[in-house]
Amino acid sequence: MLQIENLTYRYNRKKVLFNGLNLSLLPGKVYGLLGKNGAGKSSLIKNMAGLLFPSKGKCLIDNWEPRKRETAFLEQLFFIPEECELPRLSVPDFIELYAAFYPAFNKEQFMDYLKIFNVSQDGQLQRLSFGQKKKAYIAFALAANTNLLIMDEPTNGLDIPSKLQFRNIVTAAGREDKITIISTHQVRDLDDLISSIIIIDNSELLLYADKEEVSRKLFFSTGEIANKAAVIYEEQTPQGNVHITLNDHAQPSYLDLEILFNATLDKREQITNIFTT
Amino acid sequence: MNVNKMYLLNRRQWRENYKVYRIAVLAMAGILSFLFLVTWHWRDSFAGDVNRGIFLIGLFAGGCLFGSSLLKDLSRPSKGMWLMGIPASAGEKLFVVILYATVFYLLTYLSLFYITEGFFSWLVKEPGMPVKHTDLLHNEFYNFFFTFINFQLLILLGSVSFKRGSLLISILLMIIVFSLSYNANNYLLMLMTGEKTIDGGGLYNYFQFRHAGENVYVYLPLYVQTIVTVFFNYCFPIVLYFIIYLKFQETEL
Repeated sequence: MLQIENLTYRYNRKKVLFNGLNLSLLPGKVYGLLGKNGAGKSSLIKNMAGLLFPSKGKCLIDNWEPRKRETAFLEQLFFIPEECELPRLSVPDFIELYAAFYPAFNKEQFMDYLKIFNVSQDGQLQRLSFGQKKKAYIAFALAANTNLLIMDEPTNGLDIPSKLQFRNIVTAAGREDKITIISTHQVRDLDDLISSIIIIDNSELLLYADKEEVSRKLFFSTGEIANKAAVIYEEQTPQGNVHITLNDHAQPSYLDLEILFNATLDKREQITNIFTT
Repeated sequence: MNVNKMYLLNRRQWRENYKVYRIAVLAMAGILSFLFLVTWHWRDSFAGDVNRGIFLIGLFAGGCLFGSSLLKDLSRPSKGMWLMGIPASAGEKLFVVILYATVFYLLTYLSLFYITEGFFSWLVKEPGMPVKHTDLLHNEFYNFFFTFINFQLLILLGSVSFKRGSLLISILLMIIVFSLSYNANNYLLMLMTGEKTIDGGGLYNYFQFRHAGENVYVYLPLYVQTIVTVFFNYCFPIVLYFIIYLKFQETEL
């Protein structure tokens, strides 16, 4: 379990992020951390990974404090940064040197993921393109089977087939008893992958809810709507106007993450109130 | 400290860099040969044991370049994150880095120096003349190794303290601190003794002044010299190690 208690992070004396943030993330879920560029997503996940240190409060992962970077904690964490750089090694050398650091590393899984991603299994990592490198990184991270996997903009730099492959691989990895956090501003890429949504803006937590809960409380519809007063948010799309209303009749609807994201930023108080009451 | 982790870190350090190390060894052999050639060519102009000078130039110049390369990943966040994320403690990571910066470099450099010197001496040997080799144990010359270890640790401290241009900043700071303390030491002694002709000395060791046209050396008592030597040779590196460790532990990316 990942527990954030009263977390405050300071960039400098003037800029304060997450003034007293509280958050509990449970295993078995894929969390989508959504926010615009500069919203504070990277700072938050770096605090979780022990790459930045909270100014106040704390972050605990299975009772490990990330900032201490203890070996046992690092064995259970894999962080994929937005800009990936891999060592100057061939794939077999890379496995030989680094797999031993991760107790639950599965070589067959790694090879399978490389195969699905169409990354050469015996080439030099340095010679791979940015997208290929990122895929190798993701493959290694998933095969490491760590309890906490944090990915910062994992689909940046991936082409369209690779994005689909990425979604399939993360789903197939079946991290049922582990926490996966994906930070992104490309909401659509991860639409069907994530199970819980965390939306932040201006370093403030606006929404934290399971997709199930969102679907239970909000109703997404396209086209004309009779009761205009009930509309919480409306957006023009090529398919017509999309509306969000309260789901009073427990009707199923397609949860459009992008619309929800825009609605949360635009109607932050209304949306926040729905999920805090 | 986990021995297995240190073995894995050592293997990683070697396998990722051995090609660069190979080129560096060849380059260093070339530079040493060039310096031997220059000093041999002008052998009548140079007095004394110039090979010791060459030895020190190579030791410190090569050492600081090598030492600063060991933690260069910290200057790039994406590489630094990879280094920080490797499941091993900060102490284990640093131990391997320091081992490379000091023991590994010293052993490689010593071997390289003697091989190059031996080869060069054999090449320019004149009939009937014995081949001379640099004796690093003569006149307590080996004390430079302690200075070298402190120097390397200061370079590593620079790597964990400055994100950009750490090598240049570290060397510049070392020169400034050394010059300031050297001059401040002389000035302080002038104030304390009232002797206006103090014009040189060794830090915490001796000072020199002129008397009746002669240079006079005043040494500290032997026991003080021993304390100073023990501090600089043994305690200072430990203090530096802990500072580097704490800085490394507190590095944010």
